Amino acid sequence: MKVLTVKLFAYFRENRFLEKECCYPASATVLDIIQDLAINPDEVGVTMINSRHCNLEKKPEAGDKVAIFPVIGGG
Amino acid sequence: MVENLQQHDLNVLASGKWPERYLRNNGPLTISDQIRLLGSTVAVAGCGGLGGYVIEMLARLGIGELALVDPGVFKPDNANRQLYCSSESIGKDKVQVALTRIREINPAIQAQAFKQRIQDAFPTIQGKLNVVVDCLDSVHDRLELGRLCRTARLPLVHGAVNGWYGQIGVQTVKSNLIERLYSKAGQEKASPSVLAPTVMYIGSVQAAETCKLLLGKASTLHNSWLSADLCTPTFDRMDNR
Repeated sequence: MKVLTVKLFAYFRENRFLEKECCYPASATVLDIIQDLAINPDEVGVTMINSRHCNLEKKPEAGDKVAIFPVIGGG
Repeated sequence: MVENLQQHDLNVLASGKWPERYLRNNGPLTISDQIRLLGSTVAVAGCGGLGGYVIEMLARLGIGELALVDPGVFKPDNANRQLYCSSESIGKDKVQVALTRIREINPAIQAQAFKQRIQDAFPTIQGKLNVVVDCLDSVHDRLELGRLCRTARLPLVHGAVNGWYGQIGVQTVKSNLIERLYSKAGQEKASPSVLAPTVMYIGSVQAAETCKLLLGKASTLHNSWLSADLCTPTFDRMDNR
């Protein structure tokens, strides 16, 4: 298991949280975290690990900060 | 007429004085800054929510020439957030309503209306542009505009909104900000609801960033972006990585 800090942005925060320490299996990817949080992957715009853009298949390490942003497209 | 007014203002500035309409820009802007803004051309892509506020502020700042680009007309459900949507403007072309408003605010700047998509107007206008402002409402159009600006080596001031939330960043000629924000397959919820304060906040930062780009001023938002949450509220600037 690994403890990560997960940060959510914009409407992904609604009925969830802004920032939280979460425990996941060592093999968990960013996509696994997104699905665990009941976020629709199709609505995800940007994902970051420790402030660096990453893809959904990336496996964060213990202590990493994972940030998840929705697509914001309105004008 | 507009050219005469603008030339008059430039002559006054060149003599070391401020025309009254710009007098209260004195301080944050120098006379040479104001001359530079009056010699600049900016395209506003999308003249609805963000675009309305951006146009309003660029006209008041004294940007010399504005190209207004939007194929749409005002609809009743624009009223909650779009500055130029009123009972009088429903059914009218957004670019024409914005043009009329600019002439009321500042008759000494030039503006042209293009009732078409930015992709279609771009070949006509790109040659004289200094900055493009992204006030679009579609991910597909944003990606296309991001690519057009990169090819034309034009800086792009990006803004986008949804509900209480928004984002603002500057794609400099060397950056690929729009691709970084939108290249994932993700789709936005169709026609998101957006609140007026969110639109006004993001539009304000876009106008400020546009002004600074024209003046060659540095910004922490160059090749980077800010995620704004007006509900919590929190404002997070992303590192430039």
